[in-house]
Amino acid sequence: MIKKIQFGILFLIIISLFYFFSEGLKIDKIFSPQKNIGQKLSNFSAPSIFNNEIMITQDSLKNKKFYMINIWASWCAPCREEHPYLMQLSEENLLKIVGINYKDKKNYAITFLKKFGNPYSEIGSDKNGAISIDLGARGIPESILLDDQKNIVAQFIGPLKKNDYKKIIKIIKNK
Amino acid sequence: MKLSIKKIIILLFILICSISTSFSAGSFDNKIKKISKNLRCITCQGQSIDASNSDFALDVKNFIKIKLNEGLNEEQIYELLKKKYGSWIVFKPEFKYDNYLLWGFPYLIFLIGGIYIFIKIRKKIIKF
Amino acid sequence: MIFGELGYYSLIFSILFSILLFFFIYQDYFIKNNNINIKIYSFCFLQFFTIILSFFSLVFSFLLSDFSLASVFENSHSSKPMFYKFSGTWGNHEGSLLLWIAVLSSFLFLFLLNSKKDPKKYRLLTIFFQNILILGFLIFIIKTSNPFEKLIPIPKEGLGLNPILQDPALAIHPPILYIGYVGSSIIFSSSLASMIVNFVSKIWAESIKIWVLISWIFLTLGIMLGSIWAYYELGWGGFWFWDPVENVSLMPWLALTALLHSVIILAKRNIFQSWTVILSIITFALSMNGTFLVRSGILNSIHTFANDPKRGIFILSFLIFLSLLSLIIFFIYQPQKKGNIFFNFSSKEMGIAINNWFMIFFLSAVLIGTIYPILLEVINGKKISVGPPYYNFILTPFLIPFLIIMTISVKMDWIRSSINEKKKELLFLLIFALFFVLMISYFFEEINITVLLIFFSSIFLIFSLFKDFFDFFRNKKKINIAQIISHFGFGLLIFSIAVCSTFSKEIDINLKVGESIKLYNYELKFKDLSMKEDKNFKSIIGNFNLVEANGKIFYFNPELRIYDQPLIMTSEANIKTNFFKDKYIVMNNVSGSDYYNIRFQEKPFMIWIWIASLLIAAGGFLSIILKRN
Repeated sequence: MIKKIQFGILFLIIISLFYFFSEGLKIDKIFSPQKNIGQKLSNFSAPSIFNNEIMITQDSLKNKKFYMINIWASWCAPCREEHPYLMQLSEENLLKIVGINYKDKKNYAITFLKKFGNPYSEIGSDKNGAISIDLGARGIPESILLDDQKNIVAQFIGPLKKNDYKKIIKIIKNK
Repeated sequence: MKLSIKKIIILLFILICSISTSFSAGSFDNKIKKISKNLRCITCQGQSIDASNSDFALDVKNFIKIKLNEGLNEEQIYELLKKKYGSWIVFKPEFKYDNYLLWGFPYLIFLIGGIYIFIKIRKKIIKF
Repeated sequence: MIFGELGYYSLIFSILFSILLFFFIYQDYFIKNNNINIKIYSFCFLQFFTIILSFFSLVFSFLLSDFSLASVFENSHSSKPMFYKFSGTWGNHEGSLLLWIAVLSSFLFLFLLNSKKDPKKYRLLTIFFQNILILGFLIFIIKTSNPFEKLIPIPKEGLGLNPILQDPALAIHPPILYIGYVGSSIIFSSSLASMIVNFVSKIWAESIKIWVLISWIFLTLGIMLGSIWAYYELGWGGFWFWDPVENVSLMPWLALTALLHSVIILAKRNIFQSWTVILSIITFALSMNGTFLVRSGILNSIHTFANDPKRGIFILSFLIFLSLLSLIIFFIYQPQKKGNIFFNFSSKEMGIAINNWFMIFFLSAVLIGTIYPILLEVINGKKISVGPPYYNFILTPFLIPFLIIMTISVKMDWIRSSINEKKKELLFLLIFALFFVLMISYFFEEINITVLLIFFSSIFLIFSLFKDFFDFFRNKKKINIAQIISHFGFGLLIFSIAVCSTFSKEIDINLKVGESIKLYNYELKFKDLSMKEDKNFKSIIGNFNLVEANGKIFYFNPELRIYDQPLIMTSEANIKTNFFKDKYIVMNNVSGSDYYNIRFQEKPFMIWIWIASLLIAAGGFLSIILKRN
């Protein structure tokens, strides 16, 4: 009898390992980080790229229903790719976009904006990357969409694409 | 003389315990090292923040430096990062109900093994 | 080219031979005589021959850079050095699987030749089970990962081998590791066979001991080479990271070490029959499990093969099939106890029982740490990491009693030993070790208690074996020299790891050419940069002078290599080794500036970690040689 119970237990363990492993195989292993949707934005403060005296913080996000924080740099090629969508978003004037200029040189950043346009209402400078960690970012470009309570509504890792643009517009229009 | 080995072992433990072992925190850089060794670089496969030279890893190292300067301790920094990036980022799994099996399993096996050996071998052991 | 076809069709033929072998085994099984039918010999040989032929066809395709084969195209390049073209054969999933099968069939063939003294039915069944394994893997390779897959049109040039894999230690790492892994297959097959024919006995233990030793030695060396590679190549100065892929090779090692001990006791005293069989099955199941975890892509690890879920499902199903098969066989044919055998509490038997107990504990910790993240993600979708802090927390405290018991039980005799004789000796050693540890704690205040105890227990073991060794040369006392060397190696390994991780110093700094900085007692000068071009990479070499306080200068030349095929940048550490410590410098460029990130490390006793691992393996090797004579 004891033998049969032992057998049964081991049998069940083997079968359940099969189940777990085969389910585990189905899980997408392509890097998909946890997104912080629903969480409140953490406090941050970054000196303005134009004037070191002025600090850009979570309190800079006011007077609008929606905000977006966009992390970018002049040296990052995908940032150029997404720039037209940022420009479009800012022209539609539905939300306020705050830029975080990531590990960049001031004059390169300004040249970049002169060339491609400036969609940002304010730009903070992140000299050593620590602010991007404060914001919970993984790399650049990355965009975080926030509502008026500064809750994270959506997070876009990598350059904004046409679909992402449509999604942003949809979220804002539905509210 | 019969219990001398046991006595010596006990004495030994007392002696070693009485050696003052100061857990000095080490220098500031070592602290950053230590913390970043316990963090996973989530944008690079399987490396620690300390081992990696990717932008993300460098950013996290700077972040740790800033937070230490702000007066946060090691645990608070882990908590902060866990909130932002999930528990995936720390190499030491939290001790909470999700992970009880993870933490308990080896000890459970050790206990079962001990009982099993005791039962099985007791029959075989005789004093000569 | 011709080698592609040759390799593919030999594989097809070997499948045919496998199937025929099943038929002949069935036929021969019921014939009552003592000799195996010559047909079985010849088909085993044919199977072995065709698989080896197929493997060498792949080797030649790699050497000749035959890009009509997908596996060559994806993993090789015509400008690569010959040695790495050769090792590129098993540097990828398909080729390494073929190597795996080649080792499987060579072991079968060797078993057939070396088991003539054993009962016929046992040998036939062993061949039968081993053939199930071979056939399973042959079908797997043909169905999901054919190394001879053709590309049309034929590409002009290959994609190249990942440069971090272009390293001598890593080039020979897979074959050696696989001999270790796959060696356990023959133990598995023969333990199933011996249960069925009721042959689990002293004689069986004697006959499989050699296979256990061989796989154990190779697994030890394989793991060591992997660590050496990580230390020299990955550029952060560590050699063991508790990465899932490393764990996967450690688990069979732990099981095999337990098996090695229980086989000895079975051979000597005819006890632990069921347990030895269980360990044989577990060892192979863990090897298979390792293959599954690494190749299916279910893990997140530094070193994963390119993956495809179909492969995962196949190996997983095969693994589960084998586990259930052995479970059923075990419960039907479980070895019966014959008579009662007694021993004293202080005896070798008890020592080995405790060894196995601890080994299973270590194994269970590594196992749960490796697979728990997978289980948890399936259950509730949460991702967690189980890394070094977990393993250190669980394993380290248990090493202390483990080492102490090891010291005592190595001195024990079979059945019973009179402690009084040894008490004095042990006491003396204990005090000696204690004295040593007190000295360490006096000079270095910052060590915590667990580490001190690890120092104490490993020194206790080392001293005690040292004394035995000394006695051996002085009085020609009869001792088991192989055992002493391996155990000494283990003690030394733990001691060196403890020293290295406690007293190592490391620092990261950013330096520009011409700058210098004070590090501990040294001064590090970044003299200049030079360029070098090699066959398949360009390198930037940093020239550093490290000046000691007494004026002695070390010259360091860490490199940044830019490989062209594929285009990848790697950094090569420059390491200066002596018997006391390694000095380690690696440099990385800092994007968008003239600064270089320099990582300087000083790692005491590093070389002893490798020496200790070699000693562990050497003990096993010596025991084979001594047995033969």
